[in-house]
Amino acid sequence: MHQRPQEKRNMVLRCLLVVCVSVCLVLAVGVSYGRYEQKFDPVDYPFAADNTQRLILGGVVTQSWLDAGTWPQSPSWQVSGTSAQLSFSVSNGRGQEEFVPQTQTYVLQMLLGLDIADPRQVTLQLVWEEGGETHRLTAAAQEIPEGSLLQGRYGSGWIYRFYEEGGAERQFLLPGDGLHYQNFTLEVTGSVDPTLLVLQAVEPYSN
Amino acid sequence: MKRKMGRKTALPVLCAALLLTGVLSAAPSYARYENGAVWSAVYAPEQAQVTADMLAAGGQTVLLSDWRMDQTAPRKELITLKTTSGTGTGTIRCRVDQQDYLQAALDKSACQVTEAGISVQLTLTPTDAALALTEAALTTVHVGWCDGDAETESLWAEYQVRLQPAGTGEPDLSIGTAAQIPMTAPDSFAWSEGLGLQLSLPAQTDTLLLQLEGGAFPEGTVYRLGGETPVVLGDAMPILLTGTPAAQTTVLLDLSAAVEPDSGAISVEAGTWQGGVQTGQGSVRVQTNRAALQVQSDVRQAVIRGGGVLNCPLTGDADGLSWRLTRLTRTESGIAYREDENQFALTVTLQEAAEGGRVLAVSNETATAPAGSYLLTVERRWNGQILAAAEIPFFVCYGAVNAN
Repeated sequence: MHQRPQEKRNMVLRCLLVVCVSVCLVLAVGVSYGRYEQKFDPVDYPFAADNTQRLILGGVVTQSWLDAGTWPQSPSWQVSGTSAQLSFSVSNGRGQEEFVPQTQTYVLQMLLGLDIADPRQVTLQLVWEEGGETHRLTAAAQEIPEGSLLQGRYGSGWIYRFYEEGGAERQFLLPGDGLHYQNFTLEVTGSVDPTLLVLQAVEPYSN
Repeated sequence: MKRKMGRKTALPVLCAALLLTGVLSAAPSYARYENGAVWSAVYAPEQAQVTADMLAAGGQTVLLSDWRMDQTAPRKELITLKTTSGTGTGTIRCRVDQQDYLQAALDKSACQVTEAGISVQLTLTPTDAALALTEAALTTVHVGWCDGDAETESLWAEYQVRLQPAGTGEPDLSIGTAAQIPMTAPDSFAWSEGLGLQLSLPAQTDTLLLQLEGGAFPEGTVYRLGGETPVVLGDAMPILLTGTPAAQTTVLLDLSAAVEPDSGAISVEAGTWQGGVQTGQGSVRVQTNRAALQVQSDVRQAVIRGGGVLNCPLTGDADGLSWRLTRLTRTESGIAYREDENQFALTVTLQEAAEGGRVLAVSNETATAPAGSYLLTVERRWNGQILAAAEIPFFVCYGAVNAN
């Protein structure tokens, strides 16, 4: 027996409503949990860098720092001639007992202002040691989208990201089974007008 | 009794649910973005920018003294190139425009320029046509500098020299007694700033002569009439303006590259002629004790975060001081600093500093100025002429970031 068209429409609407309400419930619970977790995260990092509770940007970590139980506060930034070097670390905590117990994935990206008319005027190379080898990646630039959150915060300009040979953005991992960190060096080269440079360590696909 | 949801009820509920879904979907994305670490600094590399004493960005005229064609030895003019920091490379070239009276050559082409500076010699040689001149001819030699491998000249000048036929006598222009012409200048000036002169010329003036201390202005003196291209004196000579100078003539003098600063006073004399007859004379005496405008700022620290304030210590006299803000924006015509109504969320005030002295305070009190790159331009003006200017680039951002 065939349903009447009116009943069929109502059935579709009801199904859509159920799906939407379910999605709302899942998202609401997820966001609330996320906020709860962020709010009650036991780690509080009074770093000079603007660290949220999960990813920490600090100075280069050395064994002596670890042995001393202290943590390097700020990245080291040195401008020399027409280049600059930023030495920093990304970690999931700042002590053997103070770390985020979840595995975290992050990407590194740099923002440079509109003072650079052509992003090719500046070269950004990321260097790090991993598995006993030195890795080096050169960043590719894109325009910061008009009206984006990034533009609202830092203004117009360029966002530089690091891509692997296959074309995927290079992701880094911080396991949650203990304190983990990765030291990096960022080499900036280019004779350009002074510009604001912002380094971000963020979860992938967040812009 | 089972109650069925009607279409009229279901639709608003569905819309509300869809809206909520949208909001909640966006929230985790934003939260993800927030879950990151941020660090910032100002990248301010040293720039090996090449400058020259006789060449300028946008071009200028270098005026050489008249050349009588019974003096046939080549003239040699030196051009000094320097960098503000580091080493710069490029090429320098010259050409004679139109006339066939002169040959011009430079002793260098490809150059490596350092902070200590290098000298390039421009040699001008008269041709047979010049030696046979029967009346005066103005010749122009173009000299330009190209950075690196660029084809476009970043610095250039037009060297002008008037060739006089052999045997021509020196023009007799000495300022004698004549009717006074109104001539004003500031009471004092700073050697590193410009000196403005305002002259009210008699009607039908065809020649205006300016002298420093009764004689020639030194080589390297720069003068500018109104908004015209600056003219550099390539040799020591008086400033001679012919044609029909405006009834109200403003001359801006820059002696910073020509005279060793000292305290005291200088005098500038003026004479006017019409048809070879002197019609007026005047003079001003100006003290040289003005404190030059200096705005100190460290671009590496020049970041306003959120509703912050940027303090720029200022020294020098505040007379005639003005300032303006521009923001770096991209439009169809390109990227440039422009005035923008949104930037007026920033306020600039001249304040007494707690530790003495004064500061220009740029405040983003409402935290609503658009993020980006800004330029604070501070100027000292006299009669509409810019005597001194300083530019301070700074940045506004809203990410809670640190500067190391």
